[in-house]
Amino acid sequence: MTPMVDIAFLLLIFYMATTQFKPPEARAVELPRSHSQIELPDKDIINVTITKYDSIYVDWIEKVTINIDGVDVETNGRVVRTVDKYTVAPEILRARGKNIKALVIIKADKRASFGVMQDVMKQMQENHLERFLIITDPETDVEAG
Amino acid sequence: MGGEVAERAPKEAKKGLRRPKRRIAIRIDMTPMVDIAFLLLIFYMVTTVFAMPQAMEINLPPAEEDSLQVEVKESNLLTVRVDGEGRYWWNLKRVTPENLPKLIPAPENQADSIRQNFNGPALREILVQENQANPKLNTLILINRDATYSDMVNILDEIDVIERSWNTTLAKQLKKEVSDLTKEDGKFSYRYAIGEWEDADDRKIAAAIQAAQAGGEL
Repeated sequence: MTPMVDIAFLLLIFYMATTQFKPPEARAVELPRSHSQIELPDKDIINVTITKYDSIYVDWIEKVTINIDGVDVETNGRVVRTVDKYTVAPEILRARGKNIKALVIIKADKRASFGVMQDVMKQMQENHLERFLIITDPETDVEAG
Repeated sequence: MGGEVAERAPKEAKKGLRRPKRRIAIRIDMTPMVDIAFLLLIFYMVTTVFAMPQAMEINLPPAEEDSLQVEVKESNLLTVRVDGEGRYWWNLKRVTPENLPKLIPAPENQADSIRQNFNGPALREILVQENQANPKLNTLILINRDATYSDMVNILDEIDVIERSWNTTLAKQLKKEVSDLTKEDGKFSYRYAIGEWEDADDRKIAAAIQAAQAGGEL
């Protein structure tokens, strides 16, 4: 039985060591909670991240060509831009120009001020980006009866 | 359980190179440990739920100024305000010295310091009651810039929950799917708007705070 146990532990340790529950994020965001049940799309998205310090980032995945040893290789690259309330909408429009199907997803920290969100929404409204999704965590309703 | 010690017969000295020594082989029964290891492994595999974030859809009205203007009768107006301290206030109609915004009391167990002032059930009750009392009700949401983003999500979520639950009930009555409901069926869609917080709102809330303090609510 020893070899089997060896293998089992080897696998266990391998998975423990390699599992990344969440890809490391440079801009950690603690999401607000809601009862919403809409699932999040996983491609064709433009992320707008608002941190608790009210800084805004726009990121998306686009096809980039990198040159390896004289050979052009096409790959997916994540583009991250630091923006402010005036440049957020133009940056989103630029990203949409590359992928017209892309959906805007706002991922804002629950401690971010409402003011910055209001500014972002106003900018988006003025640039005809009226439809977007906001990311939330599922609600943990423990209502004492 | 435990280790078993097996005694081996001393080997016969061969070629005289090895010292004649009593060797003791220890065998530990590992089965219980492996049992526990697998039990834990299976337990974590079964119970781990990855909390997948969810999305809420927001549709802003188009920015064209003239199409944005919607006249709302004062009698059909419910205003929910969140002040800079994150306190929730509500009132019907226009704010007057006699009709000041009323505080939605914070929940008693403030487990989450970020949401300490948000009382979901209380807000939901007000929204449900007033919408039932007046089907033409329009809700105006005014949030101070210093309040948090989660305050906006909290209110929109309550509105979404009410809308969904009423439509689910309606769909059940009509034996339809919620997605097939039409306006003719009486599909409920909550009328609300997010307005802009103005200096006047600060004054209204200041008056309301005074009244709440006098009344012992704050």
